[in-house]
Amino acid sequence: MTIEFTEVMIPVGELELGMHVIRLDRPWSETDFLIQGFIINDPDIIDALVQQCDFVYIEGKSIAESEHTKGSIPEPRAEKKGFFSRLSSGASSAQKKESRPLIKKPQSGRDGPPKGNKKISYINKISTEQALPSAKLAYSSAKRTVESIMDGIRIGRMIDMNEARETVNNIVDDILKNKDALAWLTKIKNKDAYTAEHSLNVSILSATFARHLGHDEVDIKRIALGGLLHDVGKAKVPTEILNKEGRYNEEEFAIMKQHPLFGRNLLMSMAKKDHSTIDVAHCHHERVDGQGYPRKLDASQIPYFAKIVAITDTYDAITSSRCYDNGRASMEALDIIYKCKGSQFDAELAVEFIKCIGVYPPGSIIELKTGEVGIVIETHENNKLKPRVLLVRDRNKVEKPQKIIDLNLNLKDKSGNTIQIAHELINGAHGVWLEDYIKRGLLLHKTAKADS
Amino acid sequence: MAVSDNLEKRQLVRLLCNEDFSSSRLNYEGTVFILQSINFHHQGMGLFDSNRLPDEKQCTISFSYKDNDELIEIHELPCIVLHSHETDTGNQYGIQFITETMTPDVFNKLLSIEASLLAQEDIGDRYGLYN
Repeated sequence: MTIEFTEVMIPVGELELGMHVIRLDRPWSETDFLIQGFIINDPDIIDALVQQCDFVYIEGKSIAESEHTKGSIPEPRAEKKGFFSRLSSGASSAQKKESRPLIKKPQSGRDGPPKGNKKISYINKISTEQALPSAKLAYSSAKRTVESIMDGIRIGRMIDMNEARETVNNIVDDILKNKDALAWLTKIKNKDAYTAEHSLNVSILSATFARHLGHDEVDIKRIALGGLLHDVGKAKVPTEILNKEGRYNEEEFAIMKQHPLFGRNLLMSMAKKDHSTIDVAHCHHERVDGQGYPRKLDASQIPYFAKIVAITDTYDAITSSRCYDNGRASMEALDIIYKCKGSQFDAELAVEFIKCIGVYPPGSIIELKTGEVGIVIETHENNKLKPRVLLVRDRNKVEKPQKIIDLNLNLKDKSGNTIQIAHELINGAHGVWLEDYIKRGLLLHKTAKADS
Repeated sequence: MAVSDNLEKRQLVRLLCNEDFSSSRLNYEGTVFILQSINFHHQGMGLFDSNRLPDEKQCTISFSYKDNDELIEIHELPCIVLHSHETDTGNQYGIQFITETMTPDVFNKLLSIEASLLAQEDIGDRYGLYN
């Protein structure tokens, strides 16, 4: 028996709660709907669809018993596994493969991204607007967990791995439903809570990247856990060094560079060891050219999951504000990752990460070449440099009625020039604070009218 | 650092240093550091390295760029380390070239490099991943 997902055309008069709308009878940009594809969870959405469309396409399921599967136990389809299987089905085989870390061979259970039919394709199951409330709860809860873990280590408490896993499960569940909502939250950088937010952001980015690479849910959770605890060794660094305003002296810098070893030792002291997490904590500063720390491992010796976290760690570190400096734009971080592919970072993974994130990820505040200011609300998979943008400031940086434009439509300005993004701005530029829009819950379709 | 400070430095065009751009050699009175050239503008450039630079602002920079068959070389150009963002994953530096003592020849070389990079830039595919 196989389950196939198909598009079913349905008149708007027959819409019901719970249906997954995947396409309209007209371009999304001609409607008030901010995010493409959503599950109907509110009668108001049906009313809005009735007002704006004649018919829509919803996701339908067809179940067929094929000759191939008759009389045999069906193999789960790799492409669907991430959505419908949970830890119970995949964990045992994955965990059996796991073994103790050795110096000569990567030991994270994987050597690289899944290929061919092992690669899982994911789509957003719910809109960013719908995903955001849950994502906000997951983010604040996870941040408290990370802070509790770090504080606990400082007073000699053991890491509660069950709590860490539960946190990661919540994060990954949200990312599997929608990859953009938590990504929005990672764009808000609080310099006073750097270590906790950074660990959480690296976990979110790593899970999002693993989803992009097509890993199954079990591996996504293992990668996310590695991301969450990658810097756990920093809890052993004196807080006066960790939170120092200003440049580290050589001695302080040398102590900071011991955190991978501190993290490895902390995780090794656990009664039940999680070896892929230990590998990530120990090896996320190794480089594929053998010039990393603490062990100067060569590329073949660096565990695959650590290679993933090395990239997400750098991306978040470059784009984060610290007590002594503001973060840099996404493009600057991606420039570095691109230029350091094959030396600091695994080349294949570096390129895939850039494809995953895009120069202007959702939540980026950008200025157009027209001078107008907007927020990226979603990116197109095949052209992430031309996203859909919510315009919030006019060319004089004065607040204007919100309007959504889709740069992928190659819109022209009054002079006939194609409207393009000039550069990314930092949060708060021209009075545009991402937090304000997140607080509103992205309920933008009430106020924003799309530009056709 | 005020928001406006950080906003200002992002107004500059950042042209990705392609494979024709060499790494950069920073000279601190005889002590040399080789850094990855990240992005470029005729007034300055972005650099990155896993090692930290000394805590001094002034140095000289050398790099080269292959523009078709012509090799454009910049030797010991005085510069200032204007911004630094040092993290445990690597260190990013913003370099500003000192224009006051620059000869017209050097300035023209910098403009030529910028023009060549600009001509090659694909705004829709900055990293050449989709074509």
